[in-house]
Amino acid sequence: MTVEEELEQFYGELRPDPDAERRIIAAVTSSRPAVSWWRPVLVAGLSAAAIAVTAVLIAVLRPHSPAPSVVPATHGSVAGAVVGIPPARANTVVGAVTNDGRPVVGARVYVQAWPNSETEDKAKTGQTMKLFSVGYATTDGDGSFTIPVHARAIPPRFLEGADTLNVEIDLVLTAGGQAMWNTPIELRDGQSQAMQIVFDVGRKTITVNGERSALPMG
Amino acid sequence: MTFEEYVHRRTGALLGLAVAVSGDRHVAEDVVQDVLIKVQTRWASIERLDDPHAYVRRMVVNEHLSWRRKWSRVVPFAEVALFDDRPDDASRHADRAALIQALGSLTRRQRTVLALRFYEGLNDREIAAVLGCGEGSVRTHASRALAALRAQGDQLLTMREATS
Repeated sequence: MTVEEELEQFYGELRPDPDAERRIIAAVTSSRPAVSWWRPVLVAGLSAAAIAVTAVLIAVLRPHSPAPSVVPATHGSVAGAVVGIPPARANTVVGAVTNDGRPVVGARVYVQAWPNSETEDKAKTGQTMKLFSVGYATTDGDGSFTIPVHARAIPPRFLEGADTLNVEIDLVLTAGGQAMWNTPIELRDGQSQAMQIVFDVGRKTITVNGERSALPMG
Repeated sequence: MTFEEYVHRRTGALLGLAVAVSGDRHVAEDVVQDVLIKVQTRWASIERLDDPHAYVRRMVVNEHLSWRRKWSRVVPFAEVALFDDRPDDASRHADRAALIQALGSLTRRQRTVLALRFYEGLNDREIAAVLGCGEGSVRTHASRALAALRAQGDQLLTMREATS
């Protein structure tokens, strides 16, 4: 029997505990908070008031020549509106943040490495796992960012099998909203593989080294 | 669909998935309950999604993979009794125990990929969407996991041949 056939049989025989299922259903359906009719009205009213106050404050406090966080859609015709995507090269995570193809300026991109499995397995209950900050950057006027990866400076406990770095890439937008993506980065001879990432927050996609996927946004 | 209807229809499936990825009945129960409590507070927006169950399934996997939380100490696949009791011969039982042990030696992400592929029957694209990573990463995790399981299987076979 092949490993695949063994796994199919193994998982095929797995059965959830019906008692546990009943306990969960009872717990989550009995704990539902009662909602008064006036609460949604109050929440909606407060939200509208908060938006109005914020809008007034922005209008009063913003400088005369503001730098827009998102450049208008004039693709290729106005300076600063063309997305710049740096070429992929070793020892860097490069890329761009766009909104429906237009550059997003001022977004923060963080690259953090997770400890390897051995370190995770030694962690105590409730212990906070410290991630290793590989680097971070803020997108430029053309939406691009470049984050250097100093492979030799990464502690061994963050390397999986000596040649793989499991990283979490976090995107934080100034206008609100964030996204997270996990990907391995291969390391060879003290150098990290070239990695190019393009986030499109409008289309909710991420393209990693040419491979496009859906990007869950929070 | 109301939250209550969703819970009655899908809790069993979510619990099965949580057991498959965590390898521990108690952790699975805690994970699913915690996730459903979060779902309850956001149900109004979740039920409007194209596929609410896919979203909740992703929450369950993320909860399990969230290393910062209390599950970090759990040794996965320690319980052989995850499966229905049934008449079984000694050799099959030994093989099953060896497979459980081998699964326990994989990384959590590798085990999760295998559970999503072989328990949930998802393809690489769907697994990538659940895990929030690329299809290439899914294939890498799967091939490494299967290679590790094959290597451990070969090792076990060699040991058996040597002792028989």
